[in-house]
Amino acid sequence: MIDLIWLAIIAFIALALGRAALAWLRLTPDDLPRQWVYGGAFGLGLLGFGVFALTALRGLSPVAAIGLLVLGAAVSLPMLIQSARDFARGARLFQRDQISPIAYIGAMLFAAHFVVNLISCFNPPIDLDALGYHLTVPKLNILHNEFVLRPDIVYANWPMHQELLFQLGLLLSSDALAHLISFLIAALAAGALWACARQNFSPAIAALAAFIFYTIPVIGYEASIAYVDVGVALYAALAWFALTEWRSTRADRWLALSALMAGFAPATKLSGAFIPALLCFGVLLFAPTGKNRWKYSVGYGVVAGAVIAPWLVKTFLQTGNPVTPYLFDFLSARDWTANAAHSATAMFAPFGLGKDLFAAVLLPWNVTMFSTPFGGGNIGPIFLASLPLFLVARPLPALIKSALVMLFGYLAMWFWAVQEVRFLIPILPILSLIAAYGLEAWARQNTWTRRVVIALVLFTGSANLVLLGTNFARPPDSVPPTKSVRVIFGLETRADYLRRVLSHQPIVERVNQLPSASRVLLLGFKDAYYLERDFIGGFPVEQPLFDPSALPTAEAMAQRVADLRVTHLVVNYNQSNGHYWFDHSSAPPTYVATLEEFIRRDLTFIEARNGYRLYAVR
Amino acid sequence: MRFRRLVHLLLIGWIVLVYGIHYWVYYGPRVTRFLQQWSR
Repeated sequence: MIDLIWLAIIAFIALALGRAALAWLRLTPDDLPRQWVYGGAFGLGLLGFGVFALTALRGLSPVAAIGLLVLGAAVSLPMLIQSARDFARGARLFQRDQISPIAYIGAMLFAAHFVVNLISCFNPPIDLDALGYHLTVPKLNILHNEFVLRPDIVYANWPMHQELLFQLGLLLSSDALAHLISFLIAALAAGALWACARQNFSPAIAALAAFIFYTIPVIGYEASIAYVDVGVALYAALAWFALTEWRSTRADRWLALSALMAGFAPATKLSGAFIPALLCFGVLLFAPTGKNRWKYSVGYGVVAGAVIAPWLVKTFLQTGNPVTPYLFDFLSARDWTANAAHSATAMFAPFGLGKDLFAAVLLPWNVTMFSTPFGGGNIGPIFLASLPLFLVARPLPALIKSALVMLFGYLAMWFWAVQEVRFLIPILPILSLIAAYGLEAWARQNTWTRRVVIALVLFTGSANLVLLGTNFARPPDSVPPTKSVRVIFGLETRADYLRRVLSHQPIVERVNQLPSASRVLLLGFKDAYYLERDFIGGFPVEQPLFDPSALPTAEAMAQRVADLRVTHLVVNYNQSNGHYWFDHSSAPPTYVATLEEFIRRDLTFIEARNGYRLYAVR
Repeated sequence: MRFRRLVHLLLIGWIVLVYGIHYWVYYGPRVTRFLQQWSR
């Protein structure tokens, strides 16, 4: 309950702070809904910078976090009062949109997703990347009261703006508050889609687009856990809408607003750099003809670059390379080797079903029907189903054409770079808008098509709600693990639950009983969030500190372990696709025999739990 | 007019096909597992 109050406080202060900052920069949109969504998104970004400053200045404490919120409230006090008044105006705005009985059913389905996501936030963190770094890095930052330098967690080198909001949640309360911040961002993304689409299309298309977006299974999955892709989607959608607004109004404040939002996309997640890159190109397309074209585009890039700059500077100061371990061949990076840098940056390459023309043509079908080759995650059938509707939806308005250009540009980058469903999330708001437009156009054809579209949308919402519910009914050992209503409502202890669903939790508990000065080397698993001992983590292919492929003999491995002052090892002896997890490579294993010789020669076996073996260094 | 109707029918067919296969892929194994557990 206390977490919900904290969430309301954070949301309200972010909203007021963002609106006040937009007013100060003279970037305020004209209508109230867009003032809220742009203000909210900007305010969350500014709060992130506040936590950034606290971390950089080594001032992390619960008191300082509360101080940050008080400061935010104080500088935006008039807007805080204004926003409270606007609540009433906002409610009247909803009443103006005509709501049919069918729209009520849709609203109920939306509300059901909303409530399930809200409740899910109180499930303890169980998802791989959340335990690996989204929550672990904030926890380590708080523990050491600084930006930790972690070569063993490659992601810690990359921008983590949303993770800093999770860090605020951890400082103020718990990981449930971090989940609630994710929930807030997903709701804000749906609201942003609604508010911006409403300005350019009918209220029906706006509501439909927001509905389609929020009920996508992969959005439901991410809306209650400590992942950050939906944050990128929020900023990408706002940046694109602002750019199209600039195209039609030519008011430069929209261009500046778009550039700010585009900058927060890569600050949230490095792969979000696709967004400002694409939009810089969009500025060139949309700019009035003349010499100033390049100036607009470069100016756009400079503003977006300024937003992400603190992150690049921070990593540059830590490692000498702002995008460690990328560009290692040109810039090098502290603690990294060429071999480790190449394998860590190549880890996204294996996803997908090929990069040839045939795979490109079949992509919409493949990504809808098969989630496993794309790293898991389900975007639902509605996008593929509505693809041919453009046969009947012509002529297309300019905004939809521009949405299609953005979509194809993003898909092309995604297709060549990393074919993982989660990396598609940033484009899903725009894809939802396109699908909503197509469906609405078809619904207007005759009574029958209207009925089919209504049935389709309501069926999709209901089926995806059931799919969302199955997150609570997964079989044992599934990935991701099952959530539990019992632990959420306190009928099962957190420890019992975690032991039940996380196969590595028993060994983590055993490690937590080791002497407090222990330092543990993890081979083949990175979910270190629940570890209470110093560790060097992860998968050998993702980190440079203990790179078995660069250690040719058992003696070299022993020497490396001694240099790292490691006292214990945990080796994940479970297998995946015929490989041990500690040999998580697609190449034939080259070092398994050497590693086993090192284990026999230099380590003492202590205990094995669920296939994870704990050793002490002799 | 008849051509238009044919286009609508083809679109409906396409949607049914996509939805049918998609939900069978995602729900099929879960429904089968549930039925197996239930019949035991």
